[in-house]
Amino acid sequence: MNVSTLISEVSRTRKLLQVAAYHSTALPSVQLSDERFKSAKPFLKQLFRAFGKQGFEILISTWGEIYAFSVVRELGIKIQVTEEALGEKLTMGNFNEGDLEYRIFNMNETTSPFVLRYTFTKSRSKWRSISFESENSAFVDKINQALTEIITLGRKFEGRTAATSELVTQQLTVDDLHAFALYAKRHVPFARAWRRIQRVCGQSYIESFNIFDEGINIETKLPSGRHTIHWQKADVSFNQHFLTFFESKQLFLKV
Amino acid sequence: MAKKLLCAKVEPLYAFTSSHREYWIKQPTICSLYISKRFINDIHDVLEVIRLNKFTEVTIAVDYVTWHYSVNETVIQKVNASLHVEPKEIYFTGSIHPEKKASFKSSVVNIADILNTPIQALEISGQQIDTIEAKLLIKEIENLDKEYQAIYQRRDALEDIKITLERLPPPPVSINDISDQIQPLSQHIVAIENALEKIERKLVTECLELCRSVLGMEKGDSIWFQDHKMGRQSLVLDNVRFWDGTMFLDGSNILKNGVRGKRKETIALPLYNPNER
Repeated sequence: MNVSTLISEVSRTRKLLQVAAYHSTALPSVQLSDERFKSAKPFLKQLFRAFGKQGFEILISTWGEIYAFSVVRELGIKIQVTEEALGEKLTMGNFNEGDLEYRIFNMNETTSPFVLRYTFTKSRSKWRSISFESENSAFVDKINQALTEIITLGRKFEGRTAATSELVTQQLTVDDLHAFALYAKRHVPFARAWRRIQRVCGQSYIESFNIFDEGINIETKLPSGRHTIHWQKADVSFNQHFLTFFESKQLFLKV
Repeated sequence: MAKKLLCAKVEPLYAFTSSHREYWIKQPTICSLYISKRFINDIHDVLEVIRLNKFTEVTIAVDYVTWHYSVNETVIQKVNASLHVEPKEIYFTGSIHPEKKASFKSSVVNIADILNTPIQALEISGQQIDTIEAKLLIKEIENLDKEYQAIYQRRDALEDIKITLERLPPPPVSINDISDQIQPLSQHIVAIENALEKIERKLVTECLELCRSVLGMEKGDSIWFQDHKMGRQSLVLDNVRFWDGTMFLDGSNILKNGVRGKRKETIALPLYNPNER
């Protein structure tokens, strides 16, 4: 496991961040803005290295979700690196959504820390969090400390979580297709084929679909039907930009 | 050093048309930002521009606003945010990156709350309405009010007739039925009510004109008034009403330290006595 290739893979998945806003299930693991992500890179490197020492394998999905699997322990962990949420910042009173139009809070000055959140996959365990106060290289000890905490807690879940890499697939799923269609409908003008796909997705459940060079075949149920939609000029450039992240990439290099 | 965090409610400007199967599409509901030196300098710069050129609103692009889907979830996508400054209020708009047209808008924030300047209250009194200029305006309001009262009484009388018609027992076969008169009557009443609403709106604009030209205040100004019964009342003006010879000024109260409070207060300013003979 090479740490720098993992980091470059994470930064590659950030190109799909705009589309992920329309995805029903995928939630990118690095929940930071672009500027913050640059300063978080050394932290992520140390984190991956520490996981590697404990015998974990890091897998990154196309949408940027980070999993750590251990075959020996039969343990799978899902990781998130975020900033402090607004609810955690506001220790003095809360901002009730329905009550006030705006409110000004007095805050103590704090360095904005990273928060590491984790859960054990397929076990219904709740999300737990550990916060790191400094951004320097001084957090190496704290990461090791946190990892031992995670592993001792994980003994309860050993053998019960999905220890295989089945969660991370490179293939385009129905949810992914729906997210791309919604994004294209809103932001890409003249993407007529994607607009038609969005209409099909919004009106019926998709049984299966098949992408080929000239278009897409969709089979639906409730109501059942078959649709064949051909790519237009704007759709092809959209596909070359986004769908190359998935396994069907050879298809669009020819067009 | 203590910092200040401004949180404001966010509402979508137009709903993204989607079917019930696309329930997961989220819109930001809260925006937050630290009140920094940069933010305050921006407001001062723009206010200077507004003052020199007599603009009503100026917009600049900013990058220090954070948007939240909920209290626990932050928007990580890049947001094109902009700050709108009016002479007394500000608000933010934004849209998620590839889109440039604003798709959600924050609620309106008073500038005096951000800069934390103590509010300079404007005094109003009954003597200001004694001038000739004011009396002309009040005469107009009085005439409008008389018209309003006359139509109002007619509406009440017609309503009574309608109710009595509805209560009539059904007639025997030999006599003509008059219950088909009820529908045109109720249509007439609706027309009268529409006319009443029109006059009411006219009254409010006349009252605002009186506020602007004679008392020298507009919406958003802070005012104080010495009442005989209530004592000293002070508020930030939000709304003006008129009823029965009296002008009501509504708004949120001002606290002792000069900051805008939460409670609503009302100043009653009698313009003339309708029962005078």
